[in-house]
Amino acid sequence: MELYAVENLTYYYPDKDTPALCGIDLQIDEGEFILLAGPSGCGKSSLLRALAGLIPDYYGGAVGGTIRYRGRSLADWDRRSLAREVGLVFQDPEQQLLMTSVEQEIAFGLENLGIAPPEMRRRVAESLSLFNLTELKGRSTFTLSGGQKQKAVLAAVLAMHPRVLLLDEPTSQLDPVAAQELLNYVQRLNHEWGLTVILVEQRTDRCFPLADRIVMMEGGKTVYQGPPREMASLREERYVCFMPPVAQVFSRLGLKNVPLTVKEGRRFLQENRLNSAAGAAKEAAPAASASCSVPKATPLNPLLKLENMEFAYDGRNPCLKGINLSFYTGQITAILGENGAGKTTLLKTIVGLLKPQRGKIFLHGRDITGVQPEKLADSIGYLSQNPNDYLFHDTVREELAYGLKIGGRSDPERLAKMMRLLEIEHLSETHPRDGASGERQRIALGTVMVTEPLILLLDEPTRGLDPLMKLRLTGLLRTLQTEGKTIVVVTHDVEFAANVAERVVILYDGAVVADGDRKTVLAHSLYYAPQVNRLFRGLDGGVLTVEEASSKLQILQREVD
Amino acid sequence: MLIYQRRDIFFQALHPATTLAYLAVVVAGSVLLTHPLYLLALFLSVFAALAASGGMEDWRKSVRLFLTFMAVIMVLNTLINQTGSTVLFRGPLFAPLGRVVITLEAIIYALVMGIRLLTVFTAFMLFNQAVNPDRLLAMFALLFPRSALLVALATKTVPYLLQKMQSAAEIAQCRGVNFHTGSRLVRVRNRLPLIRVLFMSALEDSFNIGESIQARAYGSGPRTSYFRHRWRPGDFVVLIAALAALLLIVLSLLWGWGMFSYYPRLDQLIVSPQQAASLLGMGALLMIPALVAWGWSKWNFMRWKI
Repeated sequence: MELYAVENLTYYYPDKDTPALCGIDLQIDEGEFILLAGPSGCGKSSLLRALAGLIPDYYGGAVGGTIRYRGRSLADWDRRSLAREVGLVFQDPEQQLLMTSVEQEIAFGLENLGIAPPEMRRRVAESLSLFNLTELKGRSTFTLSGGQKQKAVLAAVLAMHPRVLLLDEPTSQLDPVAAQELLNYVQRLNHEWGLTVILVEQRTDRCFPLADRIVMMEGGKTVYQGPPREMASLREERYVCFMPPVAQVFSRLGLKNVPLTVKEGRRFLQENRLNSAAGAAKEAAPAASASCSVPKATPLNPLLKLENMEFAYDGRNPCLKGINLSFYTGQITAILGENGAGKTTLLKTIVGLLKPQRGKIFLHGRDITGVQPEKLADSIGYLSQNPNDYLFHDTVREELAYGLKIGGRSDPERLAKMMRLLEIEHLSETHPRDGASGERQRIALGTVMVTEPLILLLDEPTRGLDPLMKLRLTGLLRTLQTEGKTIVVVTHDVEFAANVAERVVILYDGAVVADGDRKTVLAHSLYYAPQVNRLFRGLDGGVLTVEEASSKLQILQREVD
Repeated sequence: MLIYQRRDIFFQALHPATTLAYLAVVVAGSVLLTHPLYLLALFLSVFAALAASGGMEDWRKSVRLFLTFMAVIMVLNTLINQTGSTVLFRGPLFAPLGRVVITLEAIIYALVMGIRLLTVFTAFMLFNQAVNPDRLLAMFALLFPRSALLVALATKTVPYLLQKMQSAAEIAQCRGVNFHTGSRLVRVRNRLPLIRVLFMSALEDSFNIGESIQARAYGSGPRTSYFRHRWRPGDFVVLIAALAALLLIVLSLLWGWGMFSYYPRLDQLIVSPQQAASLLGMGALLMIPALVAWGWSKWNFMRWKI
């Protein structure tokens, strides 16, 4: 049954000259799982909001074309009946929770719909049970983790018994485990309840194989619609980075039936007898593409050295335990670890925001333990998880100049160079908060880098970035590396870490449990192995990135032929 | 500390309206009455209620700041107010104030004022601990849907903004802004950008919260309320005690028992047996909620029956 029929939908946000949506045609059937993909600012979120009726109801602006929902134009639906039909989950759980307790949050939508109290109590109870939130029902939403918050948001929407679930990057603020849990729920709702799901997501590796149809958007238009396997077989270079890594590796082979998951990929290797050849290849060339410097062999003195560092927020229970780490000039290090492992705490301790109870920090051999952060600003640049905290001037140029002004300097040349490097020149006279998340990220990075610190500490820089922007960030960090910057990246994104870093550190419960060359740390890891590494498990453990996997596959094929 | 937390206390088991009624009587009494013994009784009752709810820890932590503030007011009143007639100390001439004269009446008056403020403060602390903001919203949303939402957002916003302020300040420091040295003017000027960050983020956030509320049909028609309160004997006990105490307060106002004049000379404390009876009655009635709350936390029997 046709649920949505979108015809020639065009939409302009208020006071904008270019359309956010441009002649969209789209049919959605009941029970479908649709993944909306495309670069930032391509109109995915706008389309989702249009399907929920928030565009133009909440946003204003000019609309052309029609959206019909269950045969009736969306404009004819009153708000209450539409809210019963269509549920919407947004990016940031913080900005969707209104009530103090989880239970009340779930009841909020039902109260608004005027549901009778006995029915409401049943639905709240069921919703809590379905999402395993019963134990948290009385908890204040302030004390929940990000994953728990987003689960509460989903539970609150589901309690309203919608037919359609619209999700706008619901996992972008979550760690991988919580993200996986949330997507599992979404998949179950689609499979077992027949709920129609329309999902916007940047990290597609988990949800790509789940979707019945991928809708690719670019510049406010839909450029491709079709099942995931068909899309993977297109060999369209523009779409490749929106697929999961395994599909990226195989899509270049021009197969009809492209493997989309690790399981399918390994079966493909077996069926084509590529696995036996791999064993031989492994013997012949154990480190075919190893080109990384091993940190322990670096002869130089460390630029930054942490010695037996311990820190406790409450002064009693340490959340950093005996940290010994050295960072060398021109090295990119990725720090991985679960939520609460102490990654952010470690960065904050290095920049001086937190003072370690024990141990010492040396910069260039000078003890900087307990030095105020403002005194380190010239040597250490710190980019926190929230780029918005950096942006408050009227133009991007002023924003970047502010960093120099604090130190009593002004250097238009350096500003121009920085904007060129970060590819934000075209934004220099616009408001820094007008940009999409990737642009905000780069502007914030610019404000940090403009003082040319030797060391850059980046906390989750890939949050909310689309795959293209992630590639650009990787390139940018590489460029900075060649300029001699030392970069430490805290991230949840294993694929990104495998691509950008030469050294990987894993924190667990406040202590370093692994530190070394990316291959030795990431390969064979149960939890931190990138997808393509799992593809070649037992065949070649040194494969970590899509490029490495592709060339490995070529070598294997040549050998079989 | 000022965030509501669900805890196992008597006042949280009551209907928010009951707790509000009780606290309203205490606050009204301490604003309207001027008699020191009445005010003392009001303070003791609400203090006992807070103590029975396990709120002493928070009270002790936040009372210090409040006490210094109160002490300043009391000292000022003693120094400036010269209408009393029992002079304890006659000081030198100060140009703007005239002669400093400290009288017994001014000291007593300042002390009583302090107790009055402390009562209101303690009542507020109890309110914070006992009344679930979600339930309060639910209650008021039935009466005034729009303003209730505003109140709910505002209560959530304060701790949220504090968090944001903290992180923005940390970032500014890492960018080299110095908050700790320099003249006062420089330090204030250095903090100004934080206000801008906060303001911009708050605007963006409220836009997003508004969208989420819109998507969940707020204001799309008549609302229902999730909370169903099972009225329990405790509600009636507290309500009746509060109403009876209110009656005595009104009577004491009408007959003048609750009034006391401090200047030029202190009144006699107790003038008639009726006055003594009304004072004791009011104190006893208002002590009932505290006693019940205490019993509720001690005996399971009482917990089930009340």
